[in-house]
Amino acid sequence: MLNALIIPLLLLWLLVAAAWKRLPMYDLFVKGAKEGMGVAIAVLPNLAGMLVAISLMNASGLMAALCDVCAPVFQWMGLPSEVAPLVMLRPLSGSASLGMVEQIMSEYGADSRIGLIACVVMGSSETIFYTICVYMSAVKDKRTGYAVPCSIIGALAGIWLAGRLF
Amino acid sequence: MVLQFIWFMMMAGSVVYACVGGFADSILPSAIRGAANSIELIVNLLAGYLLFCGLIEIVKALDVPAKINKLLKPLLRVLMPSIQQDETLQAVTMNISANLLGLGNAATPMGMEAMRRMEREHLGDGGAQHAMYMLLIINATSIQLIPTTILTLRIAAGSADVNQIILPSLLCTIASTVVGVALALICRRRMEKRHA
Repeated sequence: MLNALIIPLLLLWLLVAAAWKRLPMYDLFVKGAKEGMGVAIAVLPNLAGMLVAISLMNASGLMAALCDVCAPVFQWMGLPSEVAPLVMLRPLSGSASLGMVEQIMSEYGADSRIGLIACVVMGSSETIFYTICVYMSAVKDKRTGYAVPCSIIGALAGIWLAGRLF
Repeated sequence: MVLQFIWFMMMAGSVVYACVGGFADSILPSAIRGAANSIELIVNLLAGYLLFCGLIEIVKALDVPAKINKLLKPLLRVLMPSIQQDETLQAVTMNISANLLGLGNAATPMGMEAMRRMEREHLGDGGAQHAMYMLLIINATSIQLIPTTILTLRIAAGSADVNQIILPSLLCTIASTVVGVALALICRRRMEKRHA
């Protein structure tokens, strides 16, 4: 119920506030959408590379084997082993994990327990290693200290909670 | 570098596994199918990017990021006490508010600027490390309020109840960031004690 109201309420607030301030909201929307187009074009080659690899993993049976190997650990965490490849790819590549989520939803259904957990895991986490690499490229001292372990344990806590919620 | 290795493992592992399992002739068709999937996926994602990037432009014009910055400042003073210059704290808050709103493209340069300023502020005395680690952890544990890309994918996948992941995602992202930040505070205290 509350879930269903969040987007409409935000949208209404956005429109009323913009009208109140007399912003050229339609022009702003068009300007932003143009940027969105650029994002999609920049993402496509990455998606292609990762989806080719994921498709090969599926066809060869490697994906299923990987899920089986991870099953005990995921069972212990209260998660379906089908999300194992997603959890492993998530900290490394946004494109690969996005492809995994889409594939999980088409195979098990968007509203199945597996599909819902995959969506929440994806929506509540980041590409940990990629993010840290990019930020560290800005500074000379390359030590990351406790940043990586703390980030990973934090992310695991979120993933564990996703399994509890559905 | 890590990505090169991962991609190699995924590709080479699959090819070897397929050959051993007797699926060698399915390699090329499934590789092409993967590339075709990326086109299908990008069409769906493009729809979401057009809509949400358009809307977020209005949010930016409403000065929402500046308002979030004001709310964040006292909290960040506590989490990153070693930051002295206001410009540095400003870069950190702008990075975090952009992340909250899902403005990944704007957040990254801001975060890199914050890292650079932190290093310059504490050149040589090591005081910047804890604040830098805190910024890394906050960014790496995700703080996006509404997972717009996932909502787009769920609509494309034919979900009967697209929105049911909004609150759970918010709870999980809060949990991951709180755990990460709490651990960072514990690590900082321990290291400071050892030095004292």
